[in-house]
Amino acid sequence: MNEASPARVLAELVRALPDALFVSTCGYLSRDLQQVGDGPNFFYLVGSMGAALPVGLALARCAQRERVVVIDGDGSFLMGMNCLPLVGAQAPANLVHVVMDNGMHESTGGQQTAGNACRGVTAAMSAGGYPHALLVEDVADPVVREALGKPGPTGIHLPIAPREAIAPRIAPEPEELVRRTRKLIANNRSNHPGEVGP
Amino acid sequence: MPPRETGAGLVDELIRERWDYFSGVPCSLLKGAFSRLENLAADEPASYLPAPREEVAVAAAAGAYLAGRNPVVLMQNSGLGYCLNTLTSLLLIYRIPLVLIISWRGHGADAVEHVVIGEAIPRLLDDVHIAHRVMDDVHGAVSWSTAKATETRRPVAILVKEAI
Ligand SMILES: Cc1ncc(C[n+]2csc(CCOP(=O)(O)OP(=O)(O)O)c2C)c(N)n1
Repeated sequence: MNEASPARVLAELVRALPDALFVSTCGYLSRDLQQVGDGPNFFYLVGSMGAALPVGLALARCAQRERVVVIDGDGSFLMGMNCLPLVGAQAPANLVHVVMDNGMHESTGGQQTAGNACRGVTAAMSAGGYPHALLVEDVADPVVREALGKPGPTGIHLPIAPREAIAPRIAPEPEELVRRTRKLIANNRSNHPGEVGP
Repeated sequence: MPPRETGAGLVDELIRERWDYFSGVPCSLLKGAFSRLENLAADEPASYLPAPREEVAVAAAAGAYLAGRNPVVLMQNSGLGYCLNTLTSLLLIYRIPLVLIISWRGHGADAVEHVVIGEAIPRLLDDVHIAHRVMDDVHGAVSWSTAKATETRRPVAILVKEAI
């Protein structure tokens, strides 16, 4: 299999959904995302491994006008799996959950994740109630864009290659990440009034 | 013993103070509050997310705050152990105000599973710099937490010792 680099996969996802809010898990994935081109629509977790999905879920439910994309690694996904049925039950149509799977905890030195547990990523998402959950080898596959066009929650499981280089740490202070994302959402809301909250 | 409707009164008071996003994992001591949350009317300015684990509730609170909501998380003190990292590595450093309603099992004689955490809870909160106070009266506790959480932009905790 010819897996893509995480940088290329993330760049492709951002290109496909340029206005979406991205919530990324801790470790290298957030750093890779920052390299794509930092901005207020990127909310990086520097810690709280496994928390990207519940952060993204609440964000999607409370800002229904926004498209929210959660970026998980396979290790982070396994840590936050208890949340899948909640996502299914809440059924945010505006949520996309991407699992970038390199079969390891690369950020901490490449230790293996739970064996082959990740073979079941899309099965777990479907069991949790995601209406769409797909495993795709190539992020450029038209099925990805097609899936992104449908109401979610949508799960996408993407195998990725190990990194060739390590991206720099997250530059903005955590407080600044909150401030800028809140501002972006508030501005979007005042430009399009009439949003209903859950 | 506080009156049985204290739990509902606590939720009402929080909503009056504009706390509008509730999540948590139940405790029998907080039954009245959870019952009020499970029966929120569609036209009330608040919502409730039933979380599978306390760290999910706390992380959801952070997501809701990004969207402009004011979050509250209710839990048993056992759940503080589960969500401690989400508090320390997300809400506390990202400066996200949150009201934690934490039942205090094990502050006196209680079932064995509550003894260790029950004894440690005030120290644990002190150690991670989460301001806390025991809920004596609902109004006082809510106005204290609203002022403190808003002013410090940090989580604060109300400890509940009796069934409400
Ligand atoms: C609760 C917790 N445990 C462990 C860590 C250390 N840690 C940081 S990133 C990471 C690995 C993440 O793995 P994965 O989500 O698969 O992403 P990858 O690093 O492979 O891109 C770990 C274990 C942490 N930050 N928090």
